[in-house]
Amino acid sequence: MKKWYKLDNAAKLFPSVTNTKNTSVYRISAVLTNPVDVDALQQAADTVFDRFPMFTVKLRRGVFWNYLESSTDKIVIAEDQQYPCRNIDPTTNNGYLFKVLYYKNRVSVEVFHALTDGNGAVEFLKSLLYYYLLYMGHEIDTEDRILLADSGVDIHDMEDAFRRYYKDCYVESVRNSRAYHIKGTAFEQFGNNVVHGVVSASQLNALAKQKGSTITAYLSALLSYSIYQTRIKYSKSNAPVVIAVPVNLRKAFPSRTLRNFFGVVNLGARITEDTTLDELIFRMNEMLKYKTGKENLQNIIYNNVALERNKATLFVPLFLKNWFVNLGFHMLGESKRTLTLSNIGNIILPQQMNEHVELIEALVYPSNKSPMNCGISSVNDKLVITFTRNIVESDILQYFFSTLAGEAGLEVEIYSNDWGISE
Amino acid sequence: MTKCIRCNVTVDNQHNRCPLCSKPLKIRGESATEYPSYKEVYQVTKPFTVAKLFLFLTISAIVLSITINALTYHINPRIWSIIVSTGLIYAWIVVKDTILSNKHIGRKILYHYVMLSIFLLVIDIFVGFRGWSTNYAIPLFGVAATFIMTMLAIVQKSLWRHDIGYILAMFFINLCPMLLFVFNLSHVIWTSVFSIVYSLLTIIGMIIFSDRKFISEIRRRFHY
Ligand SMILES: [Zn+2]
Repeated sequence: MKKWYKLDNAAKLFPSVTNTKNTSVYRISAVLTNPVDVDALQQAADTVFDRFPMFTVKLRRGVFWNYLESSTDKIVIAEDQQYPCRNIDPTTNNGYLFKVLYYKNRVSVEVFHALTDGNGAVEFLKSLLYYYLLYMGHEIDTEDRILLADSGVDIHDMEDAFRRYYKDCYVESVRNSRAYHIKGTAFEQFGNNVVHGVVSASQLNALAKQKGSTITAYLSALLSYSIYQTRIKYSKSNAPVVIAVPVNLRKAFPSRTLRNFFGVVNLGARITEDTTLDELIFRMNEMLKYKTGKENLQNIIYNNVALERNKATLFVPLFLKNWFVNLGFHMLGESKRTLTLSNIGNIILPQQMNEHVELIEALVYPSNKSPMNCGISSVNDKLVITFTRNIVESDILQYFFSTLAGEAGLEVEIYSNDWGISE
Repeated sequence: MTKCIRCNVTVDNQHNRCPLCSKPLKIRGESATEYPSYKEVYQVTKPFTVAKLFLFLTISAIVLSITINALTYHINPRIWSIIVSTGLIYAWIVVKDTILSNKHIGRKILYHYVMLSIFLLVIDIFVGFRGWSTNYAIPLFGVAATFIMTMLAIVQKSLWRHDIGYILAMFFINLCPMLLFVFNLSHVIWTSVFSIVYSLLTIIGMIIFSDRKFISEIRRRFHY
């Protein structure tokens, strides 16, 4: 009998709302100092297999719920050929919901969000890279920062932490207005264009500190400001710019889970001609501080779990649930945000691994209503700001990066996958 | 590294244009952060596919039948085009969902059964609702669909992996003819009772012949 798992509370959303244009697949990549050795990478994938049973599962559709069924099939690594964050076809890839890809110096992990959040994917990537470097003949002291394959599966890795920290509480439902939506021309061939900008993490941090803010709040403010300056200023719209920021709940609610455990807070601002960037940074920072307070995060957990605890939903057939979840997602989620900015933070590797890893990149999948999203990650003092978009127009990111380089005075280094650009 | 003066950023050597403003840059070389070229995956979208052809033919036939029906209504005052249209939509489903699709066979049968039931109901209603569809055809086809599913599950040995969900779904669908009877839309009880008893026996059979496996599958499907 195969083992099976329930989808965690955040994961339930994704199978219902996923399609080829809203893939729910994000990517985390590491750019190494040397080209990837395929055999060593496959060997590393085979080694970590047992340590991550939450990853080696297939999605099954039940009558009333979806569930995950464990599998013993191999993780097959593949050369990266397609655009990033493409939807994962469950009839290929051994039926797995994640992919391990390589191209030149880059190792990428693409993950369907129902499996885990960025934190879980980073843990997987770290273990994979550790074994890869080991098989390449490097000696590495793990410094207790890596999940080792022979350490056995910890029961805490599998917990649905939403359930553990669920507390009944009163939540006021706030009626927010529709957010401003970025519009643009679709690429001739549907796909995702990625632009990465590399800056010094310590310099950016100093800059944010100087404005009395954090990196996330600072970049959210700059991005909102860029959207105003390039778009809203010239339109009749007075809709607010709303940046959705996923928050890792493990910090406020200790858990070692490798499944989803994140909440999303919205940072919104109505920007006018008189709004200055400094003012916006201040407002965004205050809002982020308030919304990531423990009480507010507790409400997020409540909202995630409450619906499922309602016994009536037990007997609603899956296709009807999908329909309602989809409707709710578009009405409450998608239409109330302009874009997502996900900061997976500074990834601390063991000292001896640092010299082999140049950059870590985080790619957030775009969707129809939010055709451009932003991912932030850093390693070794190199912070990568990544925009993944499915529209041709690059005006917003041009303004964003130019301002970061010009007014803020940071050295910004740009590279891209050029999807839909080169003829 | 080249500086793009317009954007104030440095652009990696792999690009001969600035990714932000498309300004041409001079230097081009290799880089560690390079992505694949995507040349092979840019495919020309096919304007002609079998599925599109069938869709076009189906829509044309429906539009034509409605037009002819409307123009000849004074000669033959019946709305026969509705039956033709439903039939064509049914045929389209057969082609698209049953023949051209690679979905699981259990799902195909379930879908097919639901479409067939709607088709038969429409015909019944438009030839003066004698109730033959709800009385006989729909419940008996339901029994047939359950039977085919059970047989396929046994032959392909895929009961526990796929089919049981569809068989359970068929059980609930077979309960529907009973509702028709309760609401007086149907006047023949034995067919509905037969379909319910048949699916109930199928499930009892599954319980007896497969003990623990079945219980755990039920829990998984219903999610306790
Ligand atoms: Zn430029």
